[in-house]
Amino acid sequence: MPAPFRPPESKPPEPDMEFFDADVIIGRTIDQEEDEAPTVADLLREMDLARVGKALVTNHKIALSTPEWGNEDLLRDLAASPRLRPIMGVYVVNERDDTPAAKRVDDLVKQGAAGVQLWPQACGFDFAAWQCPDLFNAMADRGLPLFMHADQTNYGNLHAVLQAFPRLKVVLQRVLYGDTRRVLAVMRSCPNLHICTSPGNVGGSVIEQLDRYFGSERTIFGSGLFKYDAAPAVAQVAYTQLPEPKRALIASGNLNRLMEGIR
Amino acid sequence: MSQAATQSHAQTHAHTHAHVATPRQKELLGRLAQGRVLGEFIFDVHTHTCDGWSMGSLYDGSSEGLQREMQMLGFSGMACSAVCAISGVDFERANDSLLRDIRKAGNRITAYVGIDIRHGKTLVGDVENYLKNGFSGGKLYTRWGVPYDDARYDPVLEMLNARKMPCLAHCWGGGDVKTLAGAARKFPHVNFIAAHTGSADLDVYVENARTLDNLYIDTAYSRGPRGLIEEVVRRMGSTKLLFGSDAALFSAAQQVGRVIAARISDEDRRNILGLNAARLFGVKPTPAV
Repeated sequence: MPAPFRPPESKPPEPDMEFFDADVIIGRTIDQEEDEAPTVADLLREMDLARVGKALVTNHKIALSTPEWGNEDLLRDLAASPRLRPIMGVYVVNERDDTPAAKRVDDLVKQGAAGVQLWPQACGFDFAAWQCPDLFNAMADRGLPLFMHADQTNYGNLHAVLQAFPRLKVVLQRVLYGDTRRVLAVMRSCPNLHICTSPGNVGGSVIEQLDRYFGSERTIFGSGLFKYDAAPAVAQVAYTQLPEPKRALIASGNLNRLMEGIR
Repeated sequence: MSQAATQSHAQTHAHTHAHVATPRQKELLGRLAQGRVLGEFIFDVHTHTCDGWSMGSLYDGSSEGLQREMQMLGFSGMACSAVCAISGVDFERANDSLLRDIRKAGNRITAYVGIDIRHGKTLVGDVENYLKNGFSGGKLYTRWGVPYDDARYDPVLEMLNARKMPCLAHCWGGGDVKTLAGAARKFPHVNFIAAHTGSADLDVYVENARTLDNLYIDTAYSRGPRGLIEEVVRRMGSTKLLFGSDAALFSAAQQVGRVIAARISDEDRRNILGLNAARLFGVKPTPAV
């Protein structure tokens, strides 16, 4: 039987990188008891343990077709935590709100929104250029990013929206490693697409591969809390075999840049 | 989800919120965030080289790439099979490629022969030849349409049984685990490892690992949810759960991060990361430095 494997030398410790998380959901899922739902206090504790400095946060009420209540809860819950910013919800087809899209987006920006989270699959609409063009245009005008889980659409629709609204910044979360070929193709033709790292998007060397093809400016750290733990996502970036400045872009720099673009 | 499963998950949620990290866990989480050698004995029972496979052209699936990541993390050892040997691409070419790799790597890689049950009449002789020439276990895959307890596996499993070698098997849910348990009953000197705990039917993984001395389960799961490892430890303890990453298909760093983040005792974490595998693979549990 083999003797233990001894690496020839340890990698020198890196200075602490700042991690800025683009994928956190708090609040109760439909299969949880009310008192099990992760709170802001739970989130801050997890972030401290995993060495995550800042996070963009949304909540499950927005995914459950109740963006008004979801936004109210988010603003209330995050108000005392400068490390956290809200990714808010919107009505997509004015089903209960006929305010023009531009006004609604302006209001979100004034409230401090870091982005809009859409749930097309969960909320019964298509992620398509014809579905909500005013909303996409308004978000593009204000530089407000759109966040979405990969399972909420398909790559054909995603590609079409990105092409139709080239100024709209989209951050795709929870990409599956098996979809890498689709992701690479869409990223190649759509420079407005950004990809979150974990969870699911955990193919070996996938971050290095994205860098080789497109540079590291469109890869963004995301943990998937609280369905997933934060530390594995942190590790995936921390051990990436890229120069430190590129790792820093992925860990926080790219998301900071998107936030600075909101106007 | 059954009521029992819902209650079980609820207990895990409650537990994950109540956990207080030990100083050692905090230290490991800090090292993880800095990309440093972890300083625990870690043996990865589930890795792959991907030479030739199309996904291997997308990712760094070479044995060198695998070893580079292991060195950064400070793994003390890994057990590896060639993807193309188990996935029906080319049994001989893939196993031969891994054989060359393990000869180059010296003692750094423990190699499983990828056992293609549809390889044909030479399978038994070919597997025996690989076992004589540096391989020290077997890797099975379900996609052949042949259950693991089917008699067609008996001749190759008998070879592993006679040599008391381990056998890792891809499992995706209870059906696969049950047939692997059938093989474990037939070949008591083979320590079987059912892969991908929690992919589906967690109850079946836990029940068979708990009741069969020679059946273990591994942690490899690309979408392993928060609380899964805690749930397994709560239900069956930590001595039958093995760390497996599925690298180079997955990020080894991300996968080991799941074990380090788990809200379990330091002793349980050490068992999972490497001490259980050390017993199985006959390796001295010395942490890499």
